[in-house]
Amino acid sequence: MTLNALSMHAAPGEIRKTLAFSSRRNHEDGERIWALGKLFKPRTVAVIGASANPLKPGSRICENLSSNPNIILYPVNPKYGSLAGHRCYARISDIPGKIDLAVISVPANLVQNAVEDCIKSGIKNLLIISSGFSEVGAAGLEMEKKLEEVVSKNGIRVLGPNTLGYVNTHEGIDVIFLSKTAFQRPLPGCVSMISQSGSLAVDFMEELAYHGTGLSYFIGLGNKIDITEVEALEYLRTDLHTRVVALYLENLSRGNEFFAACKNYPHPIVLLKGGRSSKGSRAAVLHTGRMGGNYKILKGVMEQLNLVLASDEVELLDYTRAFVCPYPPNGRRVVIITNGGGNGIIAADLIEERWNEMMEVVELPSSVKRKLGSKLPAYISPSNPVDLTSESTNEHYLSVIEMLAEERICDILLFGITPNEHLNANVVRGIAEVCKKYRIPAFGYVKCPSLQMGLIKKFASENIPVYPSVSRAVNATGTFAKWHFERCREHAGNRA
Amino acid sequence: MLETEHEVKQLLENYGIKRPEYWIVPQSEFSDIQGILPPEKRFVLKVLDANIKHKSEIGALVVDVSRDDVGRVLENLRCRFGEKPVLIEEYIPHSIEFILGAKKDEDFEGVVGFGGGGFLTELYGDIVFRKMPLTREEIVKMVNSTRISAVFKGFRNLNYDYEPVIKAVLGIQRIFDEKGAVISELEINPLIISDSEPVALDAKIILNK
Repeated sequence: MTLNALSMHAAPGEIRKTLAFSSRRNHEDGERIWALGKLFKPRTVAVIGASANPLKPGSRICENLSSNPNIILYPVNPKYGSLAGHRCYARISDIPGKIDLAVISVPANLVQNAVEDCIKSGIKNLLIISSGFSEVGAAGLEMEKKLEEVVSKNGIRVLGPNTLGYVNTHEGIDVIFLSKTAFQRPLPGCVSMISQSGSLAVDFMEELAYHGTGLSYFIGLGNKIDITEVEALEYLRTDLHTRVVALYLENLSRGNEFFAACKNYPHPIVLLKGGRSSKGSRAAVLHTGRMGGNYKILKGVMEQLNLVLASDEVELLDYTRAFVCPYPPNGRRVVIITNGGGNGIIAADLIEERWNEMMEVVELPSSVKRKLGSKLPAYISPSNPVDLTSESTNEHYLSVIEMLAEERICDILLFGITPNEHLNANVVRGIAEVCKKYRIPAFGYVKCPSLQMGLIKKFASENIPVYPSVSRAVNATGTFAKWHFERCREHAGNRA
Repeated sequence: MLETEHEVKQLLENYGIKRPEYWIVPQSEFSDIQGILPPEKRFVLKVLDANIKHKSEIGALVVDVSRDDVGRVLENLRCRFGEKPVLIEEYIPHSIEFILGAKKDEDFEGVVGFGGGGFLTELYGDIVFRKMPLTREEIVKMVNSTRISAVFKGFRNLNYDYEPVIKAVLGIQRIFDEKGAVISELEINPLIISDSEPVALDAKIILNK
């Protein structure tokens, strides 16, 4: 069985067509998710609580939205006649024409009225930034319940409250209450993120930007009074750019529907679950206490769904970035190419210790060793890990990779780069071209801080994830291989 | 509220999970029991009381008793635990114990758990969970996610068959499917494999409050 039998990334459009809205979800659900397009791709946006005071979230939201010439912005605030070059309206009902999305950024005690005004004006999609609801205690919870009631009674769609907002990078729609100078947004790309925490998402997005990895959507769930992870995941099925979803959750809203949404999801989902420990201790267990707490159950069910579990924020970033690689592995044979012997040996150790089931540092056949020997200086021993030594050149890397690719001996390439006198940034282009030509999934590590910034970004632009440590690179590679292996097995099972 | 072990095992037996051959001895018949028991076998004696949770720890469970010793052990149990009926079961020698359980989870509703039983459960927490229902293939995958699964793959020359475990899990699923409205948790520990059949050596159920 080869993993390429199922080319997950070969024709994303086709796969999406078959997997989006599988038969068990009915037409109505499909329509409901489709309708979220107005919320996430609006053309007309009203901002209730727009402000001239740059310290207020409403001001930053207007500023972020203003930068998109395709969006018609209607600031709403009775205090102003105009704001940032736009006419400012006293009430939402004063706005002429249809509004796709209303953003509410007013103090919590004014939110209920604002929502009711929007409903009266026929607005169907709301983003409630305001905080001060269930997250602050009983009084907030009561307000939130009232809000929830009016929302569900009127069948409108709401993201929030208490959310950072959302970003649709490909269409340049940025509805986040932090300015672009406060944190750097990633370029358009194939990672999407759904998060129940704003700060975790800010860090994640800036990390993506720093690593040169692109973003499609960020969706901040906040307190989830209407749109939850279930709707967000379903919506992202319809996004043509998304190829991996990073998910941060503290609680599941509707476990059964979450299960159904994740089952046969077209893309890898990397989940970081917060609140594992306290939930574990609160969990009801058998009187013997032997069966284990809720995280153990969640872990098992996630494994059943082939979701990738991250145990901390670093793993969330590393594993998510791994799935930017567009080629599924053809098998479990790994070749390690390095110009630092020690790093290569550690990589081989870690692969065997941690990922023995998924990956094998392949023993090179003698015919390949001979060919390899003929391409390299005599002082290099032609075995795997291939140590090109500190005398390595761009040409060494490229010729070795190309030769191994031609011999079909390398299912996964793990390479490491340590600075020397001969290598330069052109090696990136070269490695990328060979891997693209032979569709080899490639992962790298660059430990030297002075090299990292430049190389990691350059490789990222070629969809090759590179990590700042051998260990992180090995774990990301193993996670990538495992997901594809399980996915392939699942599909083989379904066909049988 | 807990059902007695005897009742739980009866229920399991109706769903394909066997129990050891057994005799229930009311107080009045303690003296007659020895004549009924087969002489070549060895026995396990348990006080039937749903309120006793850790029977072995307080001596309400005695294992590997010969027929000749049964009378003496019964007398001893009566002295310590009073007029309670005693469950006598055939003692089945075995090396590997599993745990199999199911419960209603707040997020995923019916979930099933499988792993290494007996002290392995406590020592290593070697148990994995899945949301029910599972297909046969998914059950095998669940089993293979545990460390104890080595005994299905030749560890120490042990080559257990998956079939009895599949049968037991399917049985548990059917119980939750049909009686899920009243059962909140169910645990078989230890579950053993004997003569290619799943056998529950101990089992507990917690009914919905």
